[in-house]
Amino acid sequence: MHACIYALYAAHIISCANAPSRTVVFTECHICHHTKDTGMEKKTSPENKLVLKQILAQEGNDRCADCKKATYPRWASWNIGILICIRCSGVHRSLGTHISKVRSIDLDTWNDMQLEKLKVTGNAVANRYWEAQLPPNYVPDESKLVNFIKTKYELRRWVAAGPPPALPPKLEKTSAQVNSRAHTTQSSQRTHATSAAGAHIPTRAPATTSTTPVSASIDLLGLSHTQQASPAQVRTHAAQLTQPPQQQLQQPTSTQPRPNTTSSQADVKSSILSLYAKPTSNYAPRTQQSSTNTFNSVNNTTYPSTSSLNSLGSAGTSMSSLSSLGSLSSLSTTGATTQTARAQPSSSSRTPNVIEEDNFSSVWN
Amino acid sequence: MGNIFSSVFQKLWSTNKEHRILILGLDGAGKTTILYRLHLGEVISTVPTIGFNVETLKYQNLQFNVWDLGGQTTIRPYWRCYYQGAQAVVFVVDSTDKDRMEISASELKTMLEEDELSEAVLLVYANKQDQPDALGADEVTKALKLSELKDRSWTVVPCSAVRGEGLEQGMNWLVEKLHDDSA
Repeated sequence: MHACIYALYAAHIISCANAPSRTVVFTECHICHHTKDTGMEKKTSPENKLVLKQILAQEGNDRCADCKKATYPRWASWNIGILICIRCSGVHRSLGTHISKVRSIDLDTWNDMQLEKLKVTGNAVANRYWEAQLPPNYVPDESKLVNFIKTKYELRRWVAAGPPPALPPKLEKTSAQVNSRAHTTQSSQRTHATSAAGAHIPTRAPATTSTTPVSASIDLLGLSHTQQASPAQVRTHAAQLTQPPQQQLQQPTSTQPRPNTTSSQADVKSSILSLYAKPTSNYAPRTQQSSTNTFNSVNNTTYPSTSSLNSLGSAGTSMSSLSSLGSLSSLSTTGATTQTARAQPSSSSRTPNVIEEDNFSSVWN
Repeated sequence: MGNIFSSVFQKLWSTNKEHRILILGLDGAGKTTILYRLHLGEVISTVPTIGFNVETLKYQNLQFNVWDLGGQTTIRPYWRCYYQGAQAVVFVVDSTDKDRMEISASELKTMLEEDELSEAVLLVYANKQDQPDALGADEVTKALKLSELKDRSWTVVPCSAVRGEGLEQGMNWLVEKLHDDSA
């Protein structure tokens, strides 16, 4: 019930009876943090703001869960539990709130339930479910993004067997541990994406590249709550034991031992590596991604979008739809032309593992 | 003679006058889609509006200066910066979003309490009627507690911006009301 909110607010007005009415309107209740303007939606509490920061730093969340190109997404679908870029968020909103509930990290308020869902799921876990039947590290074609997102969430074409990643309350502690660990380990989203698909489709993924990171991501993220985790875990433990060290070195992100499964000696190695890697960047996963050939071009192309997102903070500027810029460029007042410079080559960001386009042409066209 | 001249002038003036209209509502309700459906006659793919979109529409000899303001939680307080001189508020509701209907009602109530909007007519678009579980106009009226409104011209029009259904009906009502007001 929100009766108390209005009571407190009313009381606050009375206490400010001598103040000009304007100040009262803009003043929030110092007890319940409600303002007249936001009505029943609480402001994001300082604790929750911290949690949001942690979520953003979580591995895999540094890149849009759908287009995989935009870095540092500032929008989220909290019921799916993913972080997405503003453009993909537009598509998500068109799906309807029964499929995706979009909120802005910066422009919306967050309550505990929404945050918890986002925290325990995250891009890596979510894509393990929603893109289970896609090849590892699948990057959708730029021009087919709308259809890709609709096929992914509305038609659920590529989901794994079983229910979507849920939120069992007992695992809250586990996820917290995982979060703290995520700060010290330096594994890229690419690893997760690869391992995510590898965990569910062992037949498609080459053993040398995908089986090793599987155990890494599973252990790091504490994914024992996903239904498919246990058989995959058993298999990957075995794979890990038989994995020659040289093969692990082929992939920079897989060289780090898994704290949960390996010996204490491995833990030391992991922490030393992480300490060594930390000063290079605030966002370690990005550093690693840019060191891989696959993502060099992606990083270059996505910087403009990041900067444009940052500039969106001012409420006075008019930011219109990104994807409709072509049709809207003739409009004089939208002010969206600031973002027209953003052009992302779609072919350059495709990964070696991307499947043949023809497989999905029936879906997209 | 002077009277006749001034009345003729006033008539000319009133037809050329732009009516300032605000499109408001929670985020993701379909405000931008409605604006561009009215403006371009087509459905565009949108991204969340940060700031505003503004377009000039011509509808039945009337010029509308239509402002579509972003609906995210923390930018809703800035709606008030645009209230002055607004003759109509088009409040858009996502009829399928039952969870946030109460928040929508609260925002509407807060908005209509403002003095600057005391003369403004209210058109509520119960959007997304193409979805199977959308609330009807009656249910939206009840959820928004519109029957409690006093001294306000208001109506609820069920619509689907993506299908283009119901938008004209709402605009016709608006034109009628604004004509009445200026007469």
